[in-house]
Amino acid sequence: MQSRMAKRLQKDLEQMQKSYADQFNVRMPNNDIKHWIVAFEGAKGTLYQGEKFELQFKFSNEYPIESPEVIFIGKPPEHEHIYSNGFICLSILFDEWSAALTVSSVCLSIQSMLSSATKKMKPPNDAEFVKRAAGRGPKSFLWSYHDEKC
Amino acid sequence: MGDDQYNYEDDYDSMQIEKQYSLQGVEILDIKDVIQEIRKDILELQEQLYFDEDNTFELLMHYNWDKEEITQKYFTNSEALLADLRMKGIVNNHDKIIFNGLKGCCSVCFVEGNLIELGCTHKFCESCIEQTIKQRVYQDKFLIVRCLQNGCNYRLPFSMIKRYSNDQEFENLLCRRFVDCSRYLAYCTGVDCNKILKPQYSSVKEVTCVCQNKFCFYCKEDLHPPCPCDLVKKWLAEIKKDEANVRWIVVNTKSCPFCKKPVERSEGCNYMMCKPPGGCGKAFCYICSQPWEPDHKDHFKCNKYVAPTANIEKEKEVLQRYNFYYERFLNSQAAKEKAMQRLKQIKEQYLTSIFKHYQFTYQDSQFLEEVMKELIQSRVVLKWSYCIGYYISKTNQQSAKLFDHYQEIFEHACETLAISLIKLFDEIEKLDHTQSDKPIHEQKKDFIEKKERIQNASQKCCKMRQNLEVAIYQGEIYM
Repeated sequence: MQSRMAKRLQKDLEQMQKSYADQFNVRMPNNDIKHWIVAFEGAKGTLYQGEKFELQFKFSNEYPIESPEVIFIGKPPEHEHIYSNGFICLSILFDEWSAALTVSSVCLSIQSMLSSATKKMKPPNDAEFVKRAAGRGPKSFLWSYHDEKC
Repeated sequence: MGDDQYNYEDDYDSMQIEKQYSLQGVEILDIKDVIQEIRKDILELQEQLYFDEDNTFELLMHYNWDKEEITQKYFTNSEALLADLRMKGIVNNHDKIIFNGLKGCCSVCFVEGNLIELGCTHKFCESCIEQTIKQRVYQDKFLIVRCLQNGCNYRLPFSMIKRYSNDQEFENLLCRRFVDCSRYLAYCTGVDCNKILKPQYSSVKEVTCVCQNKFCFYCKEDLHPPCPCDLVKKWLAEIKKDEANVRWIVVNTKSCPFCKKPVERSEGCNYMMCKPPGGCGKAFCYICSQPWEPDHKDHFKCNKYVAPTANIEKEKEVLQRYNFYYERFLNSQAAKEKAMQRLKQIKEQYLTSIFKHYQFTYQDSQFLEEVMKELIQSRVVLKWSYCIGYYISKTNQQSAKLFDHYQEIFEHACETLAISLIKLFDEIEKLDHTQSDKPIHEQKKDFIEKKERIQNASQKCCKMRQNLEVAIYQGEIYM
């Protein structure tokens, strides 16, 4: 019998390919269902229009009860809540994770976070944080969210 | 007077009481006993407020098990309290939960099947609810589980959490939470000991568990007579910060103006090189911190010379003072551990040797154990007296003088006792290896003399220790 994680990821993938194929492109670099790369473009009419980004999803066996680890790989967008090492300060990825959230809802949240930005800027403590984060995953941090929306 | 301020008189009283009740004054509980108390609390409050068990539990958890606060708030304005709690998702209508008969697609695993509808009307399959509860309780160590739906405030009822998690794990967590909230209970601080201690009087401060571990019930640290808890806390924090280290760097090094790493000045000249591999390789003037190249280049022209300021001298003084007390604190700790080893040796080795070499029975040599216990106790008091010494000399000159006096004679008495004991132990160990050429009656006389000397030293040490303790507890010495 397939595990809940595998079954659920199958559904997540179907949803991404059926409903969001024009926005998000999913690939699994190692043919591993637990490791996804989601490529997308900054939405039209926003500060990031035309810029290409890639998100990396890593799922544990406990997914979706446990949140996935999500970071930007390659060049991350310049945004107040995204660190230069690709870590994303978004509460639904940590404390506010809900098992009812899906890969597509996470992607949409991140895209809407980008779209609502009014100016491009790095997080205030970017340099110090990136140095401290060397060799650690985003989930090893206690995040304090810079504002309510994030 | 604030709660956290120390009252020496209370403490003195507690010392007196504790002497009477240190053994029988503490109840030792298991998790099961604590769970009983929790049940009692829930039932009591349930009857008072006419709440169901689940909501009573939520309420107690939310108010850190402070029943008085809950009833006081409830009977002042029950409407306002309930409205506020409902908004926070703490009081819920769990009657609405539907366990059977619903079918559909679970929004977590997307599998069709039987669903459970929660009080908030969100529906999930049993397996996803169970897994969420297990994850929350085992992994995250939480007793509050929210609805699985994104953004929903509804809390799953306590009975459901209990049903789907392992009983023992759940009870462990619940017990831990309850004990942490209680002023009357504390976990034993001993390694691998899960007992919970409940002193019968709030004045009992020093407690002993069945595992023989002793600790201070007030601050949960190891025993620290005669030092008050707040000073202990301050002192331990000071040690932890390793401020001394940082201060040394401040006093003895300069930051490189280029890469900001601290650079130590080893010789007297003003040319400073931030040496690779650690440093950046650039040079600067020690005095004015300006780059050596291209304009400075001269050892003597520095017109920005600032003599080592009073500040640096003060920093140095503070550092030396701290090191002085910290070193003695550590030495006393080491001496105490040594004494504890000796106590073990007495029981396992010396008493037998004494019988063998001097033909004295256990009754004649038993005094050694008593004396050793006195020495251990004195070492602990001496150790913590350095903590007091560190803080007192900063604040109160008069008391500091008095304290120094008491401490000095106590330390002298303590050392005298330690030396007299070591002499006897050396003698015994020598006899273990070589036969003595003295006749037995002279050896016996020797031993009795030594015994008397030790007992006198012990009495004196005990007296001096008590003098110091009483002076502190009664407020003759204060900070």
